[in-house]
Parts: sequence; C-alpha cells; structure tokens
Amino acid sequence: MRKHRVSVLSAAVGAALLFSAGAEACTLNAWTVNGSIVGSAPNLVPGGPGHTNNTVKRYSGVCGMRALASGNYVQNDDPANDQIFRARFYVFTGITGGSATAYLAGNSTNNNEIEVIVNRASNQLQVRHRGGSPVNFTINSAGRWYSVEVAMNATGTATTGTDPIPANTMVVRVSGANTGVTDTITSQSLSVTSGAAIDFARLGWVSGSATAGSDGLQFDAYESTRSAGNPIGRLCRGNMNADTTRNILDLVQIANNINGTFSGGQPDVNEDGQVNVLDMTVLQQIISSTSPGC
Amino acid sequence: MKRSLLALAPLAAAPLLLAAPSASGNELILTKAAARDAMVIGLDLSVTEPAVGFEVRIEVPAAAVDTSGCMSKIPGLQIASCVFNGREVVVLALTEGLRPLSPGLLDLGEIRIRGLKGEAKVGQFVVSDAKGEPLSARVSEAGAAATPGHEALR
Repeated sequence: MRKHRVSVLSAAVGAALLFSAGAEACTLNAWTVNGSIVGSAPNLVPGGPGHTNNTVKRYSGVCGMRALASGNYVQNDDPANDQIFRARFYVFTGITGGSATAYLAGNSTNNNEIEVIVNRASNQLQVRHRGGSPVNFTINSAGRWYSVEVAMNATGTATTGTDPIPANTMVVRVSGANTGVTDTITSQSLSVTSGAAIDFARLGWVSGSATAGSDGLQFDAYESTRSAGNPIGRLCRGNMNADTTRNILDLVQIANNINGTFSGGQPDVNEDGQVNVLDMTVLQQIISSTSPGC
Repeated sequence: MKRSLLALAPLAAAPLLLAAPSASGNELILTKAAARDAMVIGLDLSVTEPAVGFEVRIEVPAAAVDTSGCMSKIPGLQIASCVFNGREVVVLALTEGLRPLSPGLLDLGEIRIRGLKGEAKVGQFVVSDAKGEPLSARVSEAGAAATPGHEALR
C-alpha cells in the first residue's frame, strides 16, 4: 500500500483508500481528500514494519492502520447516496473482549445501512442493516486477518453481471485465518430496505465497548465501488509481485520481508498478523499444489 | 522405452516472458532413462548466475511418481522439496540466508515415473535472485539443444 489509488475500477466510488502517502512514511492523508480522520495517536495510527509505529500490522504492502479505542476511525465521503454499493476491507480482529463496530456506512437519515461488528464475546463477525438481526460469521478466538466484502443493492431491481446482487439485498462475503492452500470464503445475504443509500463510510473502531488488548482493530486494503455487476474480490495471499501466480519469486520476497526488507504484496500467507517462516511454509504448499495461480 | 518422454511445454501456451537463449544463464538439464517398468528423469542445474532459489514444474500425466530421490541430498537449503501433486512434479528450493548457490553443476536427483500417459513436460522453470527477481533460465535435455525456459510470469 504505497500509493493512494483512486478509481481503480471504472465505476469506482473513488475509494481505494490506503494508509500511505509515499515510500517515506505511512499516513492517513489519503482519507482527507474527500473524507476525514476522526481520532488521533495513540488510539488511531498508521504504521507498518520498517516505519514509525512499526507494530502496526499490514495485510498488503507496508502500511496499515490501528485503532485502539472507540471513536477512532477514518471516513470516506466519496459515496453519493448510492443505492448500489460495494466495499471490501481487511480487518485484524485483535480485540480481546466485548464488541466493536469496525465499519459503518450510511447516510444522514440512516447512518447504519451497513454495519460490521467484531464481536469477541461470541467470536463472530456480524453484519447488519439498520440495527436488525445480523448475519454471523465465526472467527478465530485469536486475532486474525479477515476480508469483508459487502455488496448492497437497494434499488428494488436485481443487478446483472459477473456478480449480480438481488434486489433489496446485501451480500456479505467473509474470509480469513486461511492456513491452507485455498481460501475459504463464506457468503451470506440479508434483506435491506428499498431506497437505502450510502453517503459515507467509516472504517476503524467506530463505536462499541471492547477490550483493545495490544492490537485492537487493524485495517488494510479498503476499496469501494458502485459497480452493479463486478465484485471487488480478495487479494491474492502470498503474491508479492502483483503477477498472476505464486512461485519462487514470491517465496524469496517473503524471505526478504522476514529479514527486514519490506515490500508490497501479501506476505502474511496464513493471515495470523505476523510474517514469519510459517508463511513461507504455507506458500511452499501453495506453490506445490495444482492451484498456485491467483 | 524408445521414444522421448520429455518435451518442453509449448512456449506460446501462456503469456510468459522468455529468456533469450544464450550460453550463459542458469540451465536445467534433464536426462531420461528407462529402468525396468519406470521412466527415470534426472535433474541437474547448471548455476552460472547468483541464484538463491528455483522452481521447476514438470507436468507428468502418470499413475505414480516416486520423488524420494529428488532434492534429497543438497546441502545449504532452507527449503528443498520435490512433490507430485497429482498433475505435476514441483521442485522448489531456497537457500539458507538467501545465499547464492555456488556456480557449477548441482545434482537435484531424479524422479521415477510409472504408468506415464503421454509426455512429461517442463511447464515452468523459474530462477530467483536474492531480491525475488527472475534470472535468465533455460531448459535442456541431455544430448539436445537448450531451449529457453519459462523465466517469469509478470
């Protein structure tokens, strides 16, 4: 995540908002272009290995964001009352007790159209609409990286495309703590109110009472789009050079990351929040499998 | 077995960047031999550039592959594996501390194939430098001219 990338998709909301303004430092500045930062250090910090705040975890690239208390988040205001809205981010579930809202998207009338909660009491990721009953995804009892992708369609008409969204539906896909060769992705849907719309999105420890521990909640790789038919998708675990497969070149780059030469890509292959020899082992298994491609 | 069981993968089959054939560059040398009911493929690596790791994928449409004699006796490697995944034999090596392999000929061992159904093909041969960048790589069969190997997938 070295660069602030804007509109990487043709129908992008304008948000592929990351946590670095350049190679020299990790920052949250990209979020102020059309948004805001709510909170401050030490409760809300960007960081990553090799940078200031080097205990902050990152999933992709060299920077991520950590929130250690409620009311510390970044906000993106690119959405414009979008009734079709997709967002994807990675969250490290480091809180040790209680529950915290990690993502909230809505508008001035209903500010909780999409709410993603890390519930450590039940070890679940919960996603709900306007405070209704959530869909629940079981998570590891220890902190792990999870990708969360939500696709909302409140237009009353199903979308078409490679990843259509039924009318008045939110599709949620969660995947994380993957330690095997393939990603396990769990998908659930819930109903949304016709006409629901997204005008802002907040990412961080938005609200909720939880025990932060040393890791709190950490975030990376946020993207959003108003694409009707195309998913955002997951990043390719273990792919370090942004090509289409995983091979010895990626393995060497992970070894370099372990040795302190940090680079882009997704080195935390087992998604446990640390980059070490275990990631090399899993990547070795991926490369040796019949499906090393991304 | 009379006919050659080794064939290089069609180079146009995938969008790959290929190393230009040259006298230099790291070279994978394959040697085939018949032994009782099995086909034995010997693997040697001629190291001429500072490689810290390499990967070989050999497509083997076979009923059974014995990889116990492959990558079993090479010192100085952090990772040394040779696995048949049901479709390919995947050879993977990474040096300890990312130290370059010594120049010269490295004996990677052999694989034994029973019930071969078609041709064994080298689908990919990638050699990495210490930064994770590809080095030039080519594949040859003992007694045949060298052919560019699959160098990178960028």
